[in-house]
Amino acid sequence: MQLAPPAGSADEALELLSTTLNAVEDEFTGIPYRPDEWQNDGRMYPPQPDSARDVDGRPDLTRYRSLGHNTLIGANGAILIQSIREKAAELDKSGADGCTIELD
Amino acid sequence: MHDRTRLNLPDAISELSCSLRETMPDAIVDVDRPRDPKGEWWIDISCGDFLSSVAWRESFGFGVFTSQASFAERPDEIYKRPDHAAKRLCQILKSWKDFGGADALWLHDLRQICDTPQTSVAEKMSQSQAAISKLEHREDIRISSLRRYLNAMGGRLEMRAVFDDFSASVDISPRKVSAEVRETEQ
Repeated sequence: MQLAPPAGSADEALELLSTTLNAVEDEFTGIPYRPDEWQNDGRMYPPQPDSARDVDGRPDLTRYRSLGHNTLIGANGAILIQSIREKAAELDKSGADGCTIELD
Repeated sequence: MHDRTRLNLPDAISELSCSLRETMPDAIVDVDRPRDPKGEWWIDISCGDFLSSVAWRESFGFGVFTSQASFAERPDEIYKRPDHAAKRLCQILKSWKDFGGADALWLHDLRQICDTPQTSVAEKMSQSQAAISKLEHREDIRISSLRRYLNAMGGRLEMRAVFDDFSASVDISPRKVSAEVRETEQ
């Protein structure tokens, strides 16, 4: 994911994240992709559109919430995956303009 | 209990907060709202060092997690009713206090969530309360006993066979088994 070419927009970043995660899950779990179901089936699912949140004071960012992580997507295509408890960055990828997501 | 965001919440989430207020009075509840109110809400519950999060979707209900947080997992258990979700969260809190982690559902946990006394299950299964207590703590249980136990609480048993390349429901109804046995015997 970190080595993939950077995305140029939020839509591209979300697509990159989804494509990469789904490819890994398809290869290593063999569990069918069922985005419309909700119960744990042993497979990881990329951020879904209905999990989007606004970020106060940052119209350039969209936050996608999951159990242990916030995935922030920038309008420039940058991606930041941050653990909720430790606030540690688990993926910090710049957009096509070379800028990463900076939080206060 | 401190509920930091009680305004404009969906009724189900307000009801969960009320139930938690009764059962976990020291808990702090935070609600993480989605951009679209029809989307996925998150309810974060903390009580001392205990932290748990529940997801809520209008079309599904409350998603409760018992497994460790990895990335992008889905709920292990889903409850339509807020009071059922609150009871389950109390069980998880107790399990966390006793063992340091969330435990999978045991039969007696299920019965407590359904608010069904052992005597009622025993009566419906035509067994003694002691027999039900023993059944709830048995390590290995007959499928027929499990089916009757769940039926007695208004539930039903479903079974799925899961392989790497397919999964399917397995029919374990008594009628079907009897038919197969009769066929074999002829």
